[in-house]
Amino acid sequence: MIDWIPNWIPKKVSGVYIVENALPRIVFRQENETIPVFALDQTRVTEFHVRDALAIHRDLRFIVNATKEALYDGDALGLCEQQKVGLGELGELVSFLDGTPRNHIQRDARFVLRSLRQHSLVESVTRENNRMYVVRCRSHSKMRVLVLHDYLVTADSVRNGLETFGVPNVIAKANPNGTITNEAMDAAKSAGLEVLTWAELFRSLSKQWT
Amino acid sequence: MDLDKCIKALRNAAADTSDKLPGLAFYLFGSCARDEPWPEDVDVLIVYPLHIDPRAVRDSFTACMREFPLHLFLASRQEAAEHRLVELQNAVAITWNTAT
Repeated sequence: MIDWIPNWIPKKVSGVYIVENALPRIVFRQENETIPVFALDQTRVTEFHVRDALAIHRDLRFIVNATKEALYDGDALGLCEQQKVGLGELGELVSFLDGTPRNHIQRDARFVLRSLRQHSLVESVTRENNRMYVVRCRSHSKMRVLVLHDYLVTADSVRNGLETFGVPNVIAKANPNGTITNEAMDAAKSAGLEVLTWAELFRSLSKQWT
Repeated sequence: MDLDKCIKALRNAAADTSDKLPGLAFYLFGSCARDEPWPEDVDVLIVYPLHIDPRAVRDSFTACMREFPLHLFLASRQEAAEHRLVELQNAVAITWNTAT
């Protein structure tokens, strides 16, 4: 069920036109630039899906997934990053098409990776999936962080996050606005976890996690 | 853009879900509720009473989510009230005709 994707590309996306719509391939054109996009409909996007798409279209610029709130394996994200191909939902495709310059890494992930990698205590950050980050500290401590981008982190955000993306050492709210509900705190506590704000996460980096 | 078609499908999904799981309230919020010309997705707030498992609500929307770019945001009644979600998000209630 990916037929709806081209219909939801907003016309506000400046000067981008759909020139071919034979799904799973959609081709956009902006001035003299051709932007081939591959469409998927997967609850879990794996490296296999990305390799498959790249094998079909060598000039691919973006892989859009029709399924909302899907799980993207770290290997799939890593391969896309290496090949400079964007990967994500419709909203991320729209940002990619409208971006100047175009960035193949999702805005939310860019924020998380950049802010953690710039921290003096952090040695490296890798992605296990699109919400789970593995932070290796210079102290040799390693922590798995489930990052939620919701404005309001609710009990459902926590439970759904744990079910979909796995169990971390800590849950962090990356969105600087909004808050964490008491029920969300309780839901995390019942799983033996806590939900930290971004500032609290940074303070916790000095702790010995594993 | 198939916004009208999407809203119609959303109403049907909300009505079906409500039959199975009474006590839910459904709202549109975000760019769609603000009547912005080109929404990238359709934000739906679903407020549930504590006896309902939010997973059952999500499952009930699976078919609709495969056809339209829906973003479901689920909050318990207490969370919605404490954080005045409906008022602060200017959420618009999704209603349907029950006289069928």
